[in-house]
Amino acid sequence: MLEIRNLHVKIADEDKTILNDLNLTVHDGEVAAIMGPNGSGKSTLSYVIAGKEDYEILDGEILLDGQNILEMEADARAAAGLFLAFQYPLEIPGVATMTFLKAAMNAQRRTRGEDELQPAAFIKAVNAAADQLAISKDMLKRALNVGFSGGEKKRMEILQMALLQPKMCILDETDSGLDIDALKIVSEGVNRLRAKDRSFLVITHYQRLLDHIVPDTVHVMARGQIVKSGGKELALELEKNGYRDYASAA
Amino acid sequence: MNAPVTNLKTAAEAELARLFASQEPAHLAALREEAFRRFDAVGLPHRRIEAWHYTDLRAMMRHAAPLAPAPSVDQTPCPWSLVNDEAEFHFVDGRLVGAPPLPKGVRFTSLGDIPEKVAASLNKGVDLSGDVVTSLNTAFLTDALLIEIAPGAEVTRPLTLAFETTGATASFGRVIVLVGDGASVSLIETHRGAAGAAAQENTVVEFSLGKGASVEHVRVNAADKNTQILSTVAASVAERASYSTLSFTTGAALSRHQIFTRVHGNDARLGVRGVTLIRGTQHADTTLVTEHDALNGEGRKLFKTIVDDEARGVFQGKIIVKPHAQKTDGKMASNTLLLGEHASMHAKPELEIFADDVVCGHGATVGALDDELLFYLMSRGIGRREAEGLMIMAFAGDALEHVKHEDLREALVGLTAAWLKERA
Repeated sequence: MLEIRNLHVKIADEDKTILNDLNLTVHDGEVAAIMGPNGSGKSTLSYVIAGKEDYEILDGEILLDGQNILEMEADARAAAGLFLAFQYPLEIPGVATMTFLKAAMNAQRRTRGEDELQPAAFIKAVNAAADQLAISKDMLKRALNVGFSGGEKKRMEILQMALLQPKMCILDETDSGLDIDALKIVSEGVNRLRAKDRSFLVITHYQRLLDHIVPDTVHVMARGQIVKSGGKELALELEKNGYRDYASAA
Repeated sequence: MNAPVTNLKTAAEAELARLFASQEPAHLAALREEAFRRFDAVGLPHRRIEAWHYTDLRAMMRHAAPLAPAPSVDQTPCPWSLVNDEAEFHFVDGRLVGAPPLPKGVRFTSLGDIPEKVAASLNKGVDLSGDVVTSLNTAFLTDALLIEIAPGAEVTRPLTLAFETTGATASFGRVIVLVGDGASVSLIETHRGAAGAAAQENTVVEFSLGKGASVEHVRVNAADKNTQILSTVAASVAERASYSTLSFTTGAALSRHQIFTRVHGNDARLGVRGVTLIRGTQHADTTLVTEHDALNGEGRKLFKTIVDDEARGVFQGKIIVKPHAQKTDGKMASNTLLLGEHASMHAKPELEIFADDVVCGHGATVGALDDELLFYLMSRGIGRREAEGLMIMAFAGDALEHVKHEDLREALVGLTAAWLKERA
């Protein structure tokens, strides 16, 4: 599904290398977790995969189903099946949530050569997904994420994921700012989407999220590299010992 | 030593003098003569005149177009309709060619009918004698329309002033709207022209609102890209009256839209807003002077300017609060999005406050589209141009959402979407 080879990345306007020979493979249907200390480059990795422009790729490639996506703009990557759930979803004043959802779904359909959704089918799909995530009609009526609580914003991210049906989902610190109840709703939303042709890359500081979204593999990231990979037991080990062992490994 | 001062006329000024002299004797000769003398004394305004610093008309108006002949019936285009069920006054090259069956409580008089009555209503609400654009309009007045709304009349059908130009000629339209005490009306003013013709248009619309009257005025400049438009809106607002005006501009090579409002009665409300979308080498100037001369006035001014390519936007806004206009609550904001690397904006907000118990503020912002928001939208599969379009629409929407008439608001959203589509 996703294959990252020898990836070297720096911030575009600075001489600061963030990702340094990073290699990672996520197989079809796999849920992979990336854990690591602050500043290890986890969020940068998620942005680089999604196509944010603030970075310069010095070397390496990112393959989605064998296709190198590094030359593609963010919208083309999304249409190819990539989805990033943001750590801090942005508020977009003046853009109604429904308008945005419709624009996103139809844009992807157009790129894939499919017909645009009929209004009735669109509303039905949104309502069904919203119900499962305890998103009220009132939230759907407001401007995108404007005035939403942290938990509401994260649920809105999962709603978008459910509607867009991506094949490769990246969750960037989706648990940050969530209370126990919201964490449950969001995790259940993600678990419902698990499928053999859909993969997840779950980025988190804490093992807590991985109690709810149980990963197949766990990777430790430090200083812009994957320094250790293992099964879900690796997360428990990290929770016990912290990241100290890895801070100097890279 | 005294050197003789020779007032050198530009080609356009000399041509205007020739055109003025060549006019057939018509109504209001004395009034027009006086107006032309006022213009001729100063000539076309230039950048050393403060109010015209960013729009050097003397340099930008290279020539004066010939006066438009009276339109013939067969060349009359269909009037442009923005909403259903409007009562449309149709002007071609500044002359009234068609008037609608009028809703109850509305009547009109044209200059040809009762010149003295129309003449007596000019320049009454707000003193425009010092404005050179209005002086030129008066000097070349070919037609004028006086619309009267009876006291207490609630006119539900919007009245429309549809101005069309047909060629590379000069036209001068004038409309006076007298709104009786407690009456309410929506008025749409549209400007369009023949494709490719370098028309020169100078239009003045004067409103006078009685006590407790309510007016919503929306002006749409969708003129051809070669047109030069000078336009003026003046409104005098009495006690408890409410006047709102919104100018929507996508047209003209050069446009200068002037808004002069004067609040002379207590507890009045004023909403002055604008959305300007320009590209190419368009130059669009919005100049506002609002004077509060009574207690408890409320003023909201919001201007959204979107500038692409090498276009240039200008916003000048001045709020004057007279010494006894206590408790005035005035806010003015000019927000600009620069889309093109060579796009530019000149914003000059000013406050002149002589009262000591007021809440007044102004703010001006100029910026580009937010890259973070753009990335967020694109990461959902929305293409760059469409994502930018969503953000630009939201930006313009802050002003458009104040238009109360729903169909009209939707029509303006549609015009914004059409502008965005041409960009894509």
